[in-house]
Amino acid sequence: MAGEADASQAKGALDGIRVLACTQIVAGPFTGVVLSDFGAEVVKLEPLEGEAYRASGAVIPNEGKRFQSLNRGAKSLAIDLGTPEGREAVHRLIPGFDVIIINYRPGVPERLGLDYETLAALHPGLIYCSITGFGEEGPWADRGATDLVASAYAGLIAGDEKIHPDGSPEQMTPAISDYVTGLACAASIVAALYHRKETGKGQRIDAALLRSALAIQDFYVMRQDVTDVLLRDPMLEGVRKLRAAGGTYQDVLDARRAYRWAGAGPPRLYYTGYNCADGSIVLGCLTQATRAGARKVLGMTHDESDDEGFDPRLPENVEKVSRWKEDVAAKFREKPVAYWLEVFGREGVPIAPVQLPEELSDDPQVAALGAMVDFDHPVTGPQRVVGPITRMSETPTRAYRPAPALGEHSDEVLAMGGFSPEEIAALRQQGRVV
Amino acid sequence: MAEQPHHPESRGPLDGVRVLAATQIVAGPFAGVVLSDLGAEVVKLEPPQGEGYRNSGSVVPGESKRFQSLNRGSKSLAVDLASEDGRALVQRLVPGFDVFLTNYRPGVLRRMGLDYDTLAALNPGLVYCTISGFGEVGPWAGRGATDMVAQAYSGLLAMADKVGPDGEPQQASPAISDYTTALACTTSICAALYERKESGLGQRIDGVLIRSGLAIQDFYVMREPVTDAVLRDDMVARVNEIRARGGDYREVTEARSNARFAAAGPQRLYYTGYSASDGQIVLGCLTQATRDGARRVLGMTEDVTDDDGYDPNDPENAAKVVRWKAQIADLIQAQPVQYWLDAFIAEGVPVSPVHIPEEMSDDPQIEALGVMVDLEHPVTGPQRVVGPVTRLSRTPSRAQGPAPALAQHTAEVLRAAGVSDEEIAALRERGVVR
Repeated sequence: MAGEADASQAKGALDGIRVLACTQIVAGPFTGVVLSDFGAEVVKLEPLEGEAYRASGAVIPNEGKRFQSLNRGAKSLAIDLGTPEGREAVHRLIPGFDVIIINYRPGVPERLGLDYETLAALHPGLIYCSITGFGEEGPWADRGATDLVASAYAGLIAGDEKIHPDGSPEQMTPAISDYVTGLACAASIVAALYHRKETGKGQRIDAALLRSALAIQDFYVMRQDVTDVLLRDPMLEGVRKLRAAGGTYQDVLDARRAYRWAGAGPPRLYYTGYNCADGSIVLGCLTQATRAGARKVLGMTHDESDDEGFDPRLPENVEKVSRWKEDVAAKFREKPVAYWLEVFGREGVPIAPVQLPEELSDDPQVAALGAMVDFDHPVTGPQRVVGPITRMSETPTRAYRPAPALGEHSDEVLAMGGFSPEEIAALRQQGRVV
Repeated sequence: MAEQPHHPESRGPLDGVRVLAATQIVAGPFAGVVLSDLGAEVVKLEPPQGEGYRNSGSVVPGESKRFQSLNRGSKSLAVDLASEDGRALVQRLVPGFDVFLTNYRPGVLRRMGLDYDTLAALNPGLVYCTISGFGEVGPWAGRGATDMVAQAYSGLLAMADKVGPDGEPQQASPAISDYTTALACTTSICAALYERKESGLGQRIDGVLIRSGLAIQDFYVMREPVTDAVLRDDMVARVNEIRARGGDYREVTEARSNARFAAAGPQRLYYTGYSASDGQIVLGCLTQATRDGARRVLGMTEDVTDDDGYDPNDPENAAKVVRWKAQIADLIQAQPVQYWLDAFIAEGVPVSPVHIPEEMSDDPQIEALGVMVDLEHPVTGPQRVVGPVTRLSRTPSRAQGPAPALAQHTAEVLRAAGVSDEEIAALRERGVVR
């Protein structure tokens, strides 16, 4: 394993870039992971007791696996921003950084002296990236948001159609809005750095979970009149009536699903999951060629759903498709997963076993990609973490180090910011720094 | 609506960057959208009959809403790459581009003369980004993959924990692997361009759907033996037992979610969805302060899940949580959505209605943020699209325009590369370009 350890010692694309990460939970920390994998030095600014997420699901106090996974590659600087000395110390450090990322609640950056105006005045080249749930304007701007709340607001939860046995909406996992926002910020920050190379000027980046969640549902959210009069508008009208009549969540989802399937084109016999004799697989056919391959393997010669003129919306065809689907499901149950992988693989039909995320750390394909990296954490010992989001040939992406222990790099970062050993000792003595 | 940037004269951070995009379906095109929103000129290279996705769920032939949403901001250049003349023509264009972005399969790229070695030889400064399902090495390398297949392989499907009516695995929606890979590639392309400002050299970037799938499930995939001994290993062993005796998918996902919920502790009552009398809401409490607020609103004085020493794994406590959840569900059912929004918001509790994505194009918060942009499509007329993933203050991100009609910019792009009008006419005559 440890694909990264073998990588050349070439520098990452963002070598020399310094990022101050005032981040918590998932979205901000994930931005930090991505930037650090490109070679940026990411310094996580933590309160003296540590970011609260350190304790989330922690078996060893303050060293939870979630925190360690989402803060790998960072250094830890622990300063008490509740005190004037602490805020002053951070302001002194700001000119030494290129980027600051903040995903605190609206209003908190101002209270901590980390608002855009203050920091931009200290350092005009600073790229300031703010992450909020609902953005900087509008009736919901000041509200706290977590992934679930932003995802529900944005339509992601209903779009995913997961429903609890008691009929209530269920969370989508992983925390998609958080991760997508983390990536959107990383992309925007690097674009701003690219621009700064020429102008020397920094700027402000506003990211909102809500905005990113819409971006990944783009064509469901988009309005296009010629299509919408046929499909979307009648569906929405139906949903409104259902709600007014006290219809259940299931009713609403059913109404939307019928709309979605009507628009989806050829029925989804070969872009769906099936149970086999000893586990489950999915087929992922999106083209007529791969669907034809699937039909050949399964002996579904009677399935005419790709024939010209076949209208999947006709009731008798809906009936036929559901019968064909039963045929396919019965076929799959006859043989084990390995058999189906083999025969579909041979026909070039997209197929995969349905694996648990917990199994992937030891998967041979993942090992071949070098996507897992082995580390030794200073507190909890050996660990294997998920590596960078992409591979780059000349400026390799690389997981540089495990998540830091609380305050592990306070001295180093302060010294780099021009603080003398005496000053650092005094700050520590006063309890401003850990 | 249509809140495009306030300073129309200022350009995006990638102004001047030219991207040649041999892309299809979702992952490649979405990377193109993000790059174009950041100011790059994205030229989509299409076969003369157009990308296949132009007809996915289309009401107007060749102009599906999906295609238009995922290709907005780009230009269309239609060239027949099956002909030698077409390949030669594209190779002539390559030196004029900064980035080549593709999610075609490796074999197809070689056949079309668009492989890395060919293009890097023509333009050493080219940033060449490929997107594939399983990467270029390992036992699954080169296999065709679509989002569904990559989701199943990387654990995302089991993570989403959706079981169909016949016990089969169901897709998580939207196509998460595609979208995250697109954002990962965008970030990497920006990083490569940034680095190129100094080195003058391009490089190769490999985006892989299963790699991105792992990145957004980081802590579920991560191995950390101390924690895993308590939480992960037993679950994986149980799942393997279930599979060995031919247990079905539902049993597998239940074994996994039981273990996960046991580890997640008290947040389940206040980080979940509920049905109100006329619709649904979610609560998104991740801190004790917000959970306390929720308890106050709901009068849940006897709920002790946040008390010191509370053990969520004690079966007696687990039974209590089920009772409390039913109690909360009854309470919330008794009032309409608006009542609960007002009550929870007054206490600072993260809460949201559960919207469906199709409602978001007219939402007041979305309007305040200026997320939606009104455009006029040359074929299908007025439309409203989801705008950029973030907002930048100095170099605004901006939806550059609607998706192109097929071949709309062929002549423009060829002229910019010095191809004469006579040559263009001759190429068109011979069916090499459209």
